[in-house]
Amino acid sequence: MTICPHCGFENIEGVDECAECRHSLADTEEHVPATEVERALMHDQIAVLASRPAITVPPETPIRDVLRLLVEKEIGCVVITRDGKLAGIFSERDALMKLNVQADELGDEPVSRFMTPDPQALSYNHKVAFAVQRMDQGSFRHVPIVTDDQTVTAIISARDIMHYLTEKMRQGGAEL
Amino acid sequence: MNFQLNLDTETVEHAHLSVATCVQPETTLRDLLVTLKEDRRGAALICEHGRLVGIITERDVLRLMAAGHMDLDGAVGSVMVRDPVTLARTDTVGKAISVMSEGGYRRIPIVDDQKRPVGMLKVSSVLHYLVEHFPQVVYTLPPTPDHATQKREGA
Repeated sequence: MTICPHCGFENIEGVDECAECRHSLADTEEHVPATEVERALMHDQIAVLASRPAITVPPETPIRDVLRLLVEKEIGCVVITRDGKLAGIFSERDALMKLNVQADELGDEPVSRFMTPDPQALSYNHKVAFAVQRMDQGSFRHVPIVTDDQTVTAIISARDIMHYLTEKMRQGGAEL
Repeated sequence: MNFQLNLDTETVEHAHLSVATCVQPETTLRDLLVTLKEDRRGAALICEHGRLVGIITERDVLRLMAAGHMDLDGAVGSVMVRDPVTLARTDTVGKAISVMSEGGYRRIPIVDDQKRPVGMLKVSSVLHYLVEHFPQVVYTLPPTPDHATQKREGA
C-alpha cells in the first residue's frame, strides 16, 4: 500500500500516481513512516493543530495598545487586517527589534509602521510538515491561517507545533 | 532511504545549538536591549562568575514595554527571571520539545553540571532539525495543496 503524501489516499502498491488526486507517487514508495511522529507529520493537516483564533487589529492602532494586547491576551503576535483581509503581522520579536529602547517614545505611532507587511499565510488543508518547513525557511514563529479570499481565521505558532509533537511522541510510546 | 527522526535518542547537540548572549546582572536594561538588537537575539542569559543565574527574553521585555516607563538605566538583575529551566547536553531532542511545549518556552539554555551555559536551544532550531531529518518528499508537496487536486474522471 502506498499512502499519497498529498491527500492521504491509500493506493495499491506500485502505482505511479495517486488514484485520488493524481499526485506523482514516484518518490514516495520507499518512505514508510517508522514512528507515530513521522506518520503524523506526513499526513496530518494544519486543521489538527490547536490553533487559536487570530487577534486582529486595524493598521492605525497605536503601538502602545498593541503591546498591551500582546501581554493581556498572552499571545506572541497580532495580525493586522484591513477590511478583514490580511495586511501584516506584529510580533514580540518586532517589539524588541524595532521599538527597542524607544518603546516609550513611539507609543502613539501606528502599528502599521512596525508590522511585517504581507506575511506568508497558509490554509487549514496544508500539511503540518509543510507549515514546519515554511516556518523554518522563513524563520517565522507564527503563520496566519487564511481562507481563499485572504480572510484571517486563525494563527498557528511554533508552540502549537511543539504541543502537537509532544502529543504524537506520547502516542508513539515515548516516555518524556 | 530511512527516516532519521529519532527524537527520543538523539541529544540536543544534534539540533543546532545557538551561541547565547551572556551579560552580568548589573548590566543596564538599555545596554541589554541594544545588545540584543545588534546581535539579532531574542534573549540573553544573565551570568554571575560564569554561572547561569537568570534569563531575559523578548517576552519579559515586552511586559516591561507594555507597562510603560521602562527603567532603561536599571540593572537587568532586578527584572530578570531567576533560575530558568535548563537542559543538559545529554538530554534528548524529544525531551526538549516536551519541556518547550509544557512550559511555553521558545528557548532553553543548555548548561553543564556547573551551571555554565554551553548554548541555547531555540524552538526554531528544533523546527530546523525536523526539516533536516525528514524525507524531502514531504516538503515537495505542491506549494498550494489545492492546485494538483483534479478529481479523477471516469473509472
